[in-house]
This record gives sequence, structure tokens and C-alpha cells, in this order.
Amino acid sequence: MSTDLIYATTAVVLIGLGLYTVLIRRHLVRKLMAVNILGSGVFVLFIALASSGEGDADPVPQAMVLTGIVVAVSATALGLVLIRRIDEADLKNAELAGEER
Amino acid sequence: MIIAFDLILALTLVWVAYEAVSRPDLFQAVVLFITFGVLVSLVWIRLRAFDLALVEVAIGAGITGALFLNTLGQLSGEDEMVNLDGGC
Amino acid sequence: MSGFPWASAVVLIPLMGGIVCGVVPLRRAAIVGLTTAVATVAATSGLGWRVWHHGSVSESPGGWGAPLGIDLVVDGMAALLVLTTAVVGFAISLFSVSYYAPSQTAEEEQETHHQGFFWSLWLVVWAALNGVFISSDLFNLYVCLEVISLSSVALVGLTGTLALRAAMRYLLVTLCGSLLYLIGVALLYGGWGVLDVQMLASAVDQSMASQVALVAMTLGLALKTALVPLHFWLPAAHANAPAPVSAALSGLVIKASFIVLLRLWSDVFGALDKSILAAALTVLAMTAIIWGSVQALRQTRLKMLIAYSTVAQVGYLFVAFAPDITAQTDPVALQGALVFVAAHACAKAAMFLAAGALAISFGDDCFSSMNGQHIRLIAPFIIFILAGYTLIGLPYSGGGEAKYLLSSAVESAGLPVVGWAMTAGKILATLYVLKVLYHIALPTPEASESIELRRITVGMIAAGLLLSVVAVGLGPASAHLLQLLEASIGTALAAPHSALR
Repeated sequence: MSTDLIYATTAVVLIGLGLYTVLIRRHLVRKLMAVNILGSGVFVLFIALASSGEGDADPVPQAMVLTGIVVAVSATALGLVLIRRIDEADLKNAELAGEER
Repeated sequence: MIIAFDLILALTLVWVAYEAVSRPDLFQAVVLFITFGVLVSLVWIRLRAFDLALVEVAIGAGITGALFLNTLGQLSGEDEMVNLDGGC
Repeated sequence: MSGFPWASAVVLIPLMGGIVCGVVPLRRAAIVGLTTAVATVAATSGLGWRVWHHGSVSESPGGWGAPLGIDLVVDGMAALLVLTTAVVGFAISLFSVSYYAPSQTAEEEQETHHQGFFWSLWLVVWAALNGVFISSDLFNLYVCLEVISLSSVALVGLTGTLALRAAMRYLLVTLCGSLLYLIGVALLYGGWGVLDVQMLASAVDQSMASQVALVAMTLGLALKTALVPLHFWLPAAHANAPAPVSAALSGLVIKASFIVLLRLWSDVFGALDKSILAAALTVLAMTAIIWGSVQALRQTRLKMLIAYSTVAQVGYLFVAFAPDITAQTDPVALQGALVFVAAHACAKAAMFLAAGALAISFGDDCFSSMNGQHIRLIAPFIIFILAGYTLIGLPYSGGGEAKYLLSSAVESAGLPVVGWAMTAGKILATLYVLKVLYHIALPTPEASESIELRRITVGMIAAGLLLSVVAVGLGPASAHLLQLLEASIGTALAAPHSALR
């Protein structure tokens, strides 16, 4: 059993876990976390599959995963901004409902 | 020997990921999520992707974790399900 | 290859314009945006002219060719898509100038504030759409798709609480879709060490890795294209966004992921046996056509109706994969799907723009608040008649021509049942288009007292009319479209000629 194979398997488990969680969990923060775990799984899979097992690692997939990580962070930041604004809007609605009562 | 390390790291990674998405307390979940990022950077080292290990610690665990923690501090409570069709 | 780099220009011009819109003062954003739109249309026309007269264009920006660099390849298919994007994009830009025009009331002041964001994000989406259509590298496609996704989510989230939640759901779904696609990229790169579409097409075999890659990529892209039952995120996101954003999302953005899927099936996985997956997609396509149309008919809000109509029309797109059940990609089905993409992009964008104009005059887009006794509504009424005509797929329109190609493709593949579903979809579409026309034209009891209609500007009407006329006009012009599509290299389209011409 080789290192690449171990991590490729781990990546598959992480992908499954991420997809499952994003489907069943209701809290938005947790869904966003699950997407991040899904992403990490895909990135690990990418590198583990591309590596030949000996010698220097292939730089091309590393550059791609680097891009992928940056995209993931941007997406997470966007998601968190949305979550905050949803929360603010909910709070405002709750206050309005309280005043009406 | 090194295979044993790989196996332990792999199992820990899966366990931490599972805990991060299933802990009831959101703060603990975020801390576990940051731990997950650090562990992923160890995986990058094992896969000889050293640049990625650095990036993962700085961005994956660092910035993402900080963003999550920051948001958590601002949130008021549970979110509720809303019908998105809009009322008429 | 010498001459002006048209292919790079159609990506770089809107990208630059988007960046400039982000830094100029808010009042200038519309001017810069519209100028960029015109420049992009000019560059796209140049590119289209080139492909029409000299065949497909290929460029390697930065002087690096595949496999190291990124090749831009513009064949007939890509040319048709960037031209469609240019027409729809120009109309959306024209509409947005008046939609986001500075206004006096404090409530709308915030809308004005959003216009800087709108122009940057929208032009970046335009650039990335063109990037998707002309890239021939799987990873570059991933990056462009992600840029489209993130910008679209931000565009949806520009307004209201409902839109915020819809945007969040859209973000989660579209990220999952992109990552599923990336799993396929990882498997293909792990297997063959290249990501260029043409290089992979000659390498991919029947192995387990390519099968899994095919399934993961198809699932991810079907999710992003909102094929039933993966459509749950679309109606809320498309209906609650501002009107020009809805038009861009329904008209163009979902087409990007579909086109990637079409390219994958006909090129990268061309040699693979896809019969089981094709059968599954065909069943889902038929379900989408029927179920989406029924849902559209049941809606009480105009924009929700149009959004569910998109769910139904996505079904027609996936009919293109039906001939794969018999293990052969049919060029007629591909031609049908591409003409359909062009016709639906124009018709659906026209409808959303007209709906936006109606929502401005009535205050919201509920059918119950519409009151037809007004001469100013004649223009939206005409737009809905023309766009509805092609959306239903009546003869001599773009949509009609596309549906004719698709139905003859499924017929020759021996799948009459798909044809029946398409006919049922046409009847249901007629009903929901009539429902819209009825509500625009006739006074409803709830809103019987005459209300002060707010002004709909000439720019808004012109944008909608332009799109609906083009959507119908694609029918008579379809022979030219098919001729343009033949300027293809390497794709299945280039092989046998259409028997219909």
C-alpha cells in the first residue's frame, strides 16, 4: 500500500463526507464548512493521482490546486458575507415583528 | 514505518473532518476545521507538494479559519427556513 | 498566425471594462459599462467575421501552446456562442443603463449605489462566458466556470432578503457542481497527464477512471445547468435577482455549464460508451420538460413563471444527449441544441427584461397586481408575444427550428417517446405564455382601480424588442447558423453533414 493510494482513499472519504454534510445539515455555516472539506478532498485527490510515486512531484497539478485553493477562499469569503447579511436581515425582521406585537 | 504515519494521519484527518461538521457547538466546529486545514498541509508535505503546504497553512487554515471565527462572533442565532418563492 | 487577436480580445475587453467599472465613480460606471459592451460587440463581430470567412481561429496567448499554455480555439460552435452572448449581453447592458439610472427617492438611492458593483460583476461574467466558449483546456474551463459562479452569486445577492438566501443556496450548489467537475479533471489528469480537449479526445479509453470522470463531470455540470431534479436552486435565484441579472443567469450563465458538458460528451468522451448515462439524462430531460412547464403554469409571480419555464427548457437542451443511447453522437442533435441555446438565450432574456419593465410600472411582478388597461403596456406585450412564439417553438422561429432539429434527431435515433414529451411541452408552454399575455392585457379584479404607472424608458423597451426579434429571426436565418457551425475542427459536428440542409 503506497502513500499516494492512502491519501487518494482519504480524499474519496472526504469528498463523500463533504457532499453528505452539505445535503443534510441545515446551518449555513456548517454547509459552507462542508463545501470546504469537499474541496480539500478534491485537491488531495488531484495531487495524489498525479504523483508518480518517485522523483520530483509534477508542478502542473500543484499550480492548479493553488488556483483552486484561492478560488475556494474567495468563495468562502463571499459565502460568509452572505450569511452575515442574511443574519442581519433576520434580526431586523424579528425586531419589526416584535414592534408590531 | 512511514506508511504507519500515513495511515494515522489519514484516519485523524477523516475523524477531524467528521467532528468538524457534526459537533453541535459551532465554535468547537470551527476550531476543528482549522485543525483540519493544518492536517491537510501535512498531507501536502507527504505528497511532496511543499508550496501547497505553505499555502494551505496560510490560506486554508489561517485566512479561512479567521473568516469563520470572525463571522461566528457576529451571528445572532439559529437561522430559520424561509420560503423563497416570495409572497403574492 | 498573424492579424488581430480577436479571440483574446473578446475575453480581455469585458474583463478590463469590469475592472475599470470597479474603480471609477459610481455615476461613470454606466458610461464605462455601455462603452465596454459596444467594444465587446465590435470585437465579437470581428471574430465572427473571421470564422465565417476563414474557418476556425486558434490563438495561444503569451506565445505558449498546449500542453504548457492555454489555447483559445474558436470553431463555428464557439463563434455562434460568443455572438449570441454579444447580442444578449448588449441588450442587458442597454437595459441596465436605465434600470440602474440615478433616481430621486431615498429608497431607490441604494439601487443606484449598487450599480457600480453591477457593472463590474456583469462585465466579468461576460468575459468569463466568452472564456468558457473558446477555451480548450479543462482546467481553464474550471477557472472560468468558477469566475462565472462567484460573480453570479454576488449579482443575485445585490438585493433583498429573499435574494440573499437564494444567493447562498445558489453558491453552495454551484460550488459543489464545480468541485464534482474538478474530480473529473483530477481523474483525467491522473490518467493521461494532459488537459487539452483535443489531446484527451484521442487518449481517453474505456477504463474505470474515465467512466468515473464522465459520471462526476456530468453530475456536476447537470447540477450547474439545473437539470431536474437538480433544479431546486434555480427558480428562487433567477426570480429574486434584479431583472438584468435574471436575464443574464437564465439566458447565458446556465448555458455555459451545458456547453462544457456538450463538449465533453462529443469530444473528450466521444469514444466512450455512454448509453446508460444517456438514457438516464433522457428520462430526466423528459421529466424536466413536463414538470417544469406544469410548475410554470402554477406560479402566481411573473418572474417565478419565467424561471420555471427555464427549468422546462433546460430539459430540451438535454434531449441532445438522447441519441447517445444508441452509442452514437448525432450531429443533428448537437446542431439542434446549439440553435436552441441561441434562441432560448435571446427569448428568455427578452422575457426577463420585459418582466423587469412590468415590475417597475406595477411595483412588483405578482399577477394579481397587474392591470392591463394601459397603452404603455403595449411594448412589453409585444415582447412577450414574440419571445413566447419562439419559446413555444412555433414554426419559422429560432426555437421552432431548434426543436425541429432535436425532434428529427430523436426520431432517427428511434426514440419517439422523447418526441411526444416535447410535443406535450409545447402545449404546456403555449398555455403558460397565454397566461402571461392574459394578465398583461386584461384588468384583474383585485387591481381594478387605475394605478399610476411608472415610466418604462425607451432603452428598456429597445433592449427587449431587439432580443425578441432576434429570437424569432434566428428561424429564417438558421441555414446560416448551421453553415457557421460547420466551421468546426475536431468536433463531431464536422463529420457528416446535416441531412436537413
